[in-house]
Amino acid sequence: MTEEFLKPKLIGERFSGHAVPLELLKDFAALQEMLVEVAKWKYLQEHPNRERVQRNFAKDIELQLAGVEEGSAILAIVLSFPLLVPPENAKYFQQAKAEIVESIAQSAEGHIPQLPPDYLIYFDRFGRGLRSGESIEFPRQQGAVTFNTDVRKQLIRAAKVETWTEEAALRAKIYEVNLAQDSFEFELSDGSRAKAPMDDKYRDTVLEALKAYHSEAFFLIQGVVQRDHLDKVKGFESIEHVTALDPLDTTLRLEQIAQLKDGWLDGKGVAPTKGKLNWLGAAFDAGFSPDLPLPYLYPTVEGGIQAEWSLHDWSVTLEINLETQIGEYQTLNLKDQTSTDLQFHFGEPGGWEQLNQALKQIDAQTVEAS
Amino acid sequence: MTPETLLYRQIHPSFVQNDRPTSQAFRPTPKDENKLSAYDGDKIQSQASWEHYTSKLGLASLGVMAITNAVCTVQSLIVAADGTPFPEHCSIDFSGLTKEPDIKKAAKNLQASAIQRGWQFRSTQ
Repeated sequence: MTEEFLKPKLIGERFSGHAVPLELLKDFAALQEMLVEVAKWKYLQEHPNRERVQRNFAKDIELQLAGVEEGSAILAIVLSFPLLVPPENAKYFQQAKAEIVESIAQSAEGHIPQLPPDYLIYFDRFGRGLRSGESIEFPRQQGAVTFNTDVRKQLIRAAKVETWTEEAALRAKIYEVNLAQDSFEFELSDGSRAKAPMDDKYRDTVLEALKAYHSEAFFLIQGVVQRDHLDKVKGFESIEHVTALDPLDTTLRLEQIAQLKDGWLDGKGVAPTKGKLNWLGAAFDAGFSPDLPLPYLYPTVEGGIQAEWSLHDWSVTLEINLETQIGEYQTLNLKDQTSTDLQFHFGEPGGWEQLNQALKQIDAQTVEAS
Repeated sequence: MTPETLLYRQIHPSFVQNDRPTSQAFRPTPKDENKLSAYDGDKIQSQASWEHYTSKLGLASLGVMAITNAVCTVQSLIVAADGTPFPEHCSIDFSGLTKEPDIKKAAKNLQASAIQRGWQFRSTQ
């Protein structure tokens, strides 16, 4: 027999069409472990004379994914048990669910969660697969509760752990390989260094990255990253992929520019703010056509970004004011000196498409000429 | 100074990506009163100019690129071997270009010429 238990709603681009990435299911396996442990805690609270829970406390109860319902993607999670009536312990699972959802709500509202740190530690694994901009909505009587990467961080902080983990992709150079320990060490664009485990499946790429260290070649390392309580990268717990990056990778270049301080140009030069660079990075990823060549990116003395393309005889610049989100676009044919000046509004719909169209016109002429 | 005189321009590290300098390195910033500083190639070599710029003046440069006096003339830019604030100093005057788009175009032309000539000196730091 089964009993409806929980219907979390997954919100985000990846879940449209009520699809759930398989990699996120391991997060729900961690939620199940948390539910079992919190249920045991609730049982012991109700039985103060007992030192431990009964043997086989959770033996006849199982959480199952019964289906994915329409919505963004709504998971239908049921409690399953072999008998016609729920075992007595099933009520502690309901209490555990309420405790967990309430703790998420408290954290989202900026309060200290009611769950003890020993249980909050499970949030290190539950929610690890969520990406920025994604969330899970848990229904409850007083209104739905939203769990996202920021709320997860708050919950992990409340667990008072020294390190926490998240699935992430870091851009790094590899400067040392230790074959005896099957590990390698990497350097991020801010100069900080950390360690990662080696595996046969990406060993050749790591060795290739090591050789390319002095040519400033960066690689994308994807996996489970360990961070300390200040969010500083301590290393990788496990790695899924290591791949070479495009030398003009936009995210990497914006990370490098984010390291600038005011006065970066020999006393002059406003440093672009990280928040505004994050906006540009996300907007560029979403709006810039992948069919076009990537630009070179440079900081401007006023705190903006200048993108540049050299396309055959054409020199193209786009000076982006990060405050107004307006780009001054100029093309110049270096041979016949013909030029165009345009303005694009990247904060408005159609801004990126206008840039794409303008560049495609130039790029098409370049292809014809070559 | 002849039309073929090389004018050495110091390139700030943040103005270089994958060895390519931005066109911004070839136009004055708003506080430069329309004048772009360079070293007069008739009076100093590229490496010596870099050493003077980084060690004596204590400023940041990844390396040295060059444009000729003649290239500046084509862009309506007047080069003056002003010798101030040091004897090898010269100024490339952009004040003949009053419109911002024209300044940007001139900078693009100087950039293209400098890139074609290649790095005259490149720091290994």
